[in-house]
Amino acid sequence: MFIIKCPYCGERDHSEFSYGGEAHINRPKKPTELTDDQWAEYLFMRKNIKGIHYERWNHSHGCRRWFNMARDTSNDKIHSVYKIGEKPPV
Amino acid sequence: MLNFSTPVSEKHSYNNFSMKEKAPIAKINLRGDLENKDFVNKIRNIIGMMLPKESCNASEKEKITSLWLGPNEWLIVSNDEMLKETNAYELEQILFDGISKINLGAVTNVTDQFTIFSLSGSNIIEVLSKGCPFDFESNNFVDNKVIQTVLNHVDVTIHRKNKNNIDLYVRRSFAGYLWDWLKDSANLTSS
Repeated sequence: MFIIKCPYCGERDHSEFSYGGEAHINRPKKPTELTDDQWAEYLFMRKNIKGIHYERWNHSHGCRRWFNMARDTSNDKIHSVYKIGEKPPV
Repeated sequence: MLNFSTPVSEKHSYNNFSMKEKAPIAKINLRGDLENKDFVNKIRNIIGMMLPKESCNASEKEKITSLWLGPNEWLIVSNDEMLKETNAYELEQILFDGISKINLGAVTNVTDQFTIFSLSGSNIIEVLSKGCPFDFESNNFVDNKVIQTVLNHVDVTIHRKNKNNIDLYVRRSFAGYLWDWLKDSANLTSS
C-alpha cells in the first residue's frame, strides 16, 4: 500500500491518483523565438534524478484537484505535499 | 423535468444489508469561490444554509443537502424524491439566475448524470470494502462524511448519513454494472 496525502481530502490510496510529471517547469515566454533545440529542451528534457523529485499529481478519482509533491525517487518516501502555486520546500 | 426511467429500480435485501435505488432526485453541481463574499451571501439567501467549507463534509437542511466535492465545488441534492405529478424543480433556475447569469460561479444540472443507491444495514462497510481502497475503519469516516473514491474500478461518491445508512452516487452508465457487483459482494458477506 502506497498512501498519498491529498492536500484537500487527506490520506488516500495511490490508486485514486494519477501522476502528472515533473513540476515547476515554466513555459517559455516567447516560444516562437526559440530554436528547435531550446524548444525540445523545454518539451522533452526532464531531470530523472535519484533523490528528491518535485512532481505534479492529480487526485483524479477524488476531488480532481492538482497538487505538487516532493518525493524521494529511490524509496518512494513522500517528504511533503503542497498546493499548486506554492513555493517548493527546500 | 426529471427522468423517471431509472437505470436499476430494483430492491434487494440480504442479512444485515439492503440496497435500493433512490430516484428521481434532483442534483445540481455548483462551483464558486468561498472567498468571494457576494457568492457566499447569494448562496445563503437562495438555499438557506452555508456550503460546507471543510473538505469531505456535508450539510443538511429540511429539503436539500450539500456535499463537498472540492475546494470550490459542491453537489446540491434534494432530500425528497420527486412526484410524477409535480415534476418540476425550480431550484436550478433560481440558482442559475442568481449565480451563473452574473458570473459569480457555475451551476450545472447533473440530475441525470448520477443515480443514488441507498444502502442500509450493519454490513455496509464489509460489502464496500471488497472493492474499495478507502480505509473505512479510519477516524475520518464519521457521519455526514462525503468520500469520493473508486469502488470496483468505478468512480463513486459515498455519503455516510449514519452508521447503518449510506448513499452511493454512481454515474448512470455504470449503475447496472455496479449494482450487479454489489449484489455479488452482498451475497458473499451475508452469511
